[in-house]
Amino acid sequence: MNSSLKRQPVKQSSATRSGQLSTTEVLPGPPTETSALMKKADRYMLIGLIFVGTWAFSAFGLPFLIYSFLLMRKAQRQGELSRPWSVTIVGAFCIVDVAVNYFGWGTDLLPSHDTSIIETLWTGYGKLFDGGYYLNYNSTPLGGLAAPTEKTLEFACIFVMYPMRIAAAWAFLHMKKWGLQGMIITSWMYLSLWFVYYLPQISSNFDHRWGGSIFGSIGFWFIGLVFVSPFVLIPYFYTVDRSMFKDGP
Amino acid sequence: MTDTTTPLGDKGFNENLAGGDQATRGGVLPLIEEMRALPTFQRGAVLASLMFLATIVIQGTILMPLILFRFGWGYNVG
Repeated sequence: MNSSLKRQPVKQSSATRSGQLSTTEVLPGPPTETSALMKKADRYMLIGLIFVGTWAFSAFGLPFLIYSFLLMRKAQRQGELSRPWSVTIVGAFCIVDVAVNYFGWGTDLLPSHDTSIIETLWTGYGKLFDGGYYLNYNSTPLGGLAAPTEKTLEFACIFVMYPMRIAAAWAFLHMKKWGLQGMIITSWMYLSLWFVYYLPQISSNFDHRWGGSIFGSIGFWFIGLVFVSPFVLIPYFYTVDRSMFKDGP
Repeated sequence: MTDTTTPLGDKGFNENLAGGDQATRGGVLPLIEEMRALPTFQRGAVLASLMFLATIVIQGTILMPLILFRFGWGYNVG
C-alpha cells in the first residue's frame, strides 16, 4: 500500500453500555488525494468515454477503457484507488449516455447536419428507427430534423442540460459533493424533458416518426431504452452515502 | 444519555446505504466484493448501469458503423 498519500481515517462508531456513542479510529480509508496512477487512469477513461460517446466510433474507445480499467486495478492493488467501483460505473455510464445524446442532437442541431457523414448517419438511423430523421431531412430553415417540437428540445438539452450533466458526472467521478448534487438536479431535468416532453411529442407524430421507419416503435425502443439513466439512478443518488463525497470545487 | 440504538443497528441508517462503512473500510473493496456488499436495490442500479453502458458500446461498435456502411455510398438521402 502506498503510504505517501494522505488518507481519510475511517471512524467506527459503537454504542457503549451506557448508551453513549463512542468513536474509535480504525483502518485507514481511501486516499483523500488522487495519485498519479489514478490521474492517468482517469485521463484514459475520459478519452475512451469521449470516443464511445460519439456513438459511431465506439470501437476506438474500447482500448482506452480497457487500459483505464487495468490501471485502476493496479491502483487498487497499490492502495491508491480513490473511489468505489460503483461510483466509477455509474459516472462512466452517465457520461456516455449524455455524450451520445449530446453528439447526436448537437450534430443535428448545428450546421454539421449538412456534412455527408452526419447526413448519412442520421438518415440511415431515421430509415431504420425514426422516420423523422429520414423524411424531409434538412428541408427546414434550421436544417436537420424537420420536427419543430424536437428542435425545441434540442436547444434545451444541447445548451443547458447536457453540459451541466457532463460536468456534474465528471465531478461525481472525482467524489465531489457538488457533482452528486448536480447529478440529482440534472437527473430530474433529464426525466422531465424525456418523459414529459420527448415521449409525447414523438408518439403523437407516430405516422411520421415510428410509422415511417423500417423497425418502427420496437426498433426505437431497442435504441432508446438504454437512455433511461435518470429512471434507474435517481434513487441511487438519493441513497448513496454522502459522507464519501468531498467538499470544495 | 440518549439511547443511540436504532432499529437498523448501532450505526443507524448509513450502514444500509451504498458505499457506506463496508465499502470504505481499509480502502476500496474489489469490484465483486463491493457488488456483494451493496444493498439489493443499489446493486441493481449499478448492474443496470453496467448493462446499459455495454449496450451503448455495442450499438456504437456494430450498429452505427453498419448504418454508415450500409447507407453510406450511393444512397439518396433527399
